[in-house]
Amino acid sequence: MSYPKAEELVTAISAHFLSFRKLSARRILGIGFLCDWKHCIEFGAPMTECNWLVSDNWVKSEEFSYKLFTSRYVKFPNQSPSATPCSVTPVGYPYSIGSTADLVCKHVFSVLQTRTDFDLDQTILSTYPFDRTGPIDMVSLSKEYVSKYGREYLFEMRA
Amino acid sequence: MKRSVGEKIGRSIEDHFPEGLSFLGITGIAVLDVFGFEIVWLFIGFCGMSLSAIVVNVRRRRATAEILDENESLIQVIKDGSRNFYDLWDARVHSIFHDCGLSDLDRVSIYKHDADKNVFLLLGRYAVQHDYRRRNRYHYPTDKGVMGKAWFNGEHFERKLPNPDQNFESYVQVNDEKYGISRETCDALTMKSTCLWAKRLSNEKKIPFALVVVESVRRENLDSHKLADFFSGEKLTELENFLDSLAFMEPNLRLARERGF
Repeated sequence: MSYPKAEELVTAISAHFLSFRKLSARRILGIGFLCDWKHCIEFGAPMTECNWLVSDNWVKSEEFSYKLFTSRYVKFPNQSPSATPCSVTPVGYPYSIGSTADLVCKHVFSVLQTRTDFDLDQTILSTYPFDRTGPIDMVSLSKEYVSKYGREYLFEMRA
Repeated sequence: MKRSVGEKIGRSIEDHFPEGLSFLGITGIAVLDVFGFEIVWLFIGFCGMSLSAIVVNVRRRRATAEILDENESLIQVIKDGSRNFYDLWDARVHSIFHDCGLSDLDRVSIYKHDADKNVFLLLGRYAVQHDYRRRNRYHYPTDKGVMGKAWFNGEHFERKLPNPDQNFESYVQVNDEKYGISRETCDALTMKSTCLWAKRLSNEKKIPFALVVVESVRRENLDSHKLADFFSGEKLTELENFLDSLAFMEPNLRLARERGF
């Protein structure tokens, strides 16, 4: 199964986080979700082809999970959500500087870099889509969010 | 007013019982010594009081330490990454469900009041049946249903609603007339409860801040007196303290927005 954008995001997360921080598969999934959500708020579309849903008190995506557990760079001992990578191959950052994906990743990573894992969980559980359950229509929800709460205009920061 | 004063005195005696007992014992011994009374049985009685105070104090400290240890270990579990805030509450409600001795037809939920939005937020839920356990929404109105009645009156018990399998129209009608619950909401309910009990919980300042709801799909399946007894005294205080102590972990949109989401 080909999900190239999800694969790029997994690579970006592993390039940034996994060399200095042990994250569970569940939390990596959460970071992926935050990137997609932020990209939707700022640019009106997700940065991956993942279908996200809220279930069992967490966010899930079959596409992202598949790419995470089959990644060439990150190896897990098993496919449990609480598993942490047993080996990580050093890899380059996949996005070109100034691209929308790059802007979003930089924002998300910089916010999470200095935060604890507990803060990370709390941030994910606090996002607007978490009010809902089941499959999340990120595009329409992000429009609803922007109309109610505005956005930060990362797009303008690029100029 | 009288009841309120009585409650205050009762609570005060309960809270400071060991200290009071210790004070009586030591004062008694001192009085016997100062006035030179040589009454052995009184001396033994006062000594017994002082010793009992020590025993009660040790027991209380042990109970408090157990709660603190449990909180610490639960916070540690969250840090380890296997559970988050809502998982933690689900686990807590699971243990309450079993302590209550509830059946496969029942469910327990705990809701926290969001003062800004004036809605209830679902914190934790447990039922044996998967469908009943599922979270279909996170926000609930404060002026509808058994929850609304309990929020207003402190406690509410609905012994039996019409059986929705036999007469759904009647179920809808009673829910609408008695609790202000619309037909659409009734249609969407995964668990069409017919026996419900709810109690309001308060924080340290005695300000209502949460609700516990026990419900069953079988009519007259819950014993309101038994539930009221269960959610009282130390058990109630423990639950209220747990809610208070975990408040800093609660997710909310304001926090997400502050962090740029």
